[in-house]
Amino acid sequence: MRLFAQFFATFLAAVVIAKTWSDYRLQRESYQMVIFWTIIWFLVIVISFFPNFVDLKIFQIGGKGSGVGTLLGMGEIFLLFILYRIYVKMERVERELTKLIKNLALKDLKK
Amino acid sequence: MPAQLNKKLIIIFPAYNEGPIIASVLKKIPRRIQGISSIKCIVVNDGSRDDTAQAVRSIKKVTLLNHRLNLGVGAATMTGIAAAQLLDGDIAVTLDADGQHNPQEIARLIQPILDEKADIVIGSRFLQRQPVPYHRVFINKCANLLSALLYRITISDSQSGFRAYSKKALELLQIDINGYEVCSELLGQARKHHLDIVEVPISVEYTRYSMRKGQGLANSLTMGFNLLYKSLRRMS
Repeated sequence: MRLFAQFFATFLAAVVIAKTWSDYRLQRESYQMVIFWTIIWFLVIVISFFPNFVDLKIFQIGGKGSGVGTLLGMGEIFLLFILYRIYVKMERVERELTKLIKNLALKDLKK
Repeated sequence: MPAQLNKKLIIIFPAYNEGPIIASVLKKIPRRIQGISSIKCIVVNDGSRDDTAQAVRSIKKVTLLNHRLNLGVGAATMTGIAAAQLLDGDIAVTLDADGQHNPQEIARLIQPILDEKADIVIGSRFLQRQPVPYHRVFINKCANLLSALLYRITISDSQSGFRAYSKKALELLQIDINGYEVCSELLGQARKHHLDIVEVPISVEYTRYSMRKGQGLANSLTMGFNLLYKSLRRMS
């Protein structure tokens, strides 16, 4: 199971990092964002390959009861927060776009 | 009544990829309706990728409004309603462009508004016995239940796209929903503004073509989620 998780994490990380660098080359992404996503996904690979080491480090920092599970739990909460923010922003963009397209359509009526 | 003769009727067709059928549907629109002085027909082409726009242009006296992108039936309906307001329409009728509704029934649909007995008239498929596919009945029942729970409105066909709106309703109804949930959301707005809703039986024709369109089970779930989300957001 651990091998599968490692393969899965590496595969996804490779896809995301390659895509980010490709976007950077096409000038669709800033170099700051490329570095940010590369670090994040590099950390994902590290966690999947060295869970015991990461567990130990978190235990040393967080004390008794904390480990990779705590980190993953916090990660899930963070993802939910990101999801919420994306949903709200997407809704706002959709509303603005609708308004724009509607006004353009109504211009045909006034001609 | 002489006052009724001055009423201006706007007929709205939200259309997405209806090229094969839209012209034949538009040709069925009655030229005269008792109590109506002028009839204007508007097709809101919701970013169709086929020849819907060309098909509409081939029919005389039909106004074509183009959405540059596909937004959904709700947005197209609301663009049509905004156009009806700009044209100073007294009554607006919306109906599906896929040929499932019979334009000859518009006269019956608008009668309660002409009689000043309603602000919104809903053409119901379920007030008379006729063959309706089981999955459509099921979706409608679920949507009716949701409308009853969210808006405390009990009607037989909350998802009917064949509707008539009075001038008062046109002025008051303002929604920002793009998808199929527009039908339920409009009912919610009607309740909020204390508008009178009346249902009138209509016939419906399900062809192989129209069955490919409309609400499926998958987008009904999305619709339900969106309605709940909007309601929660309103409450907060």
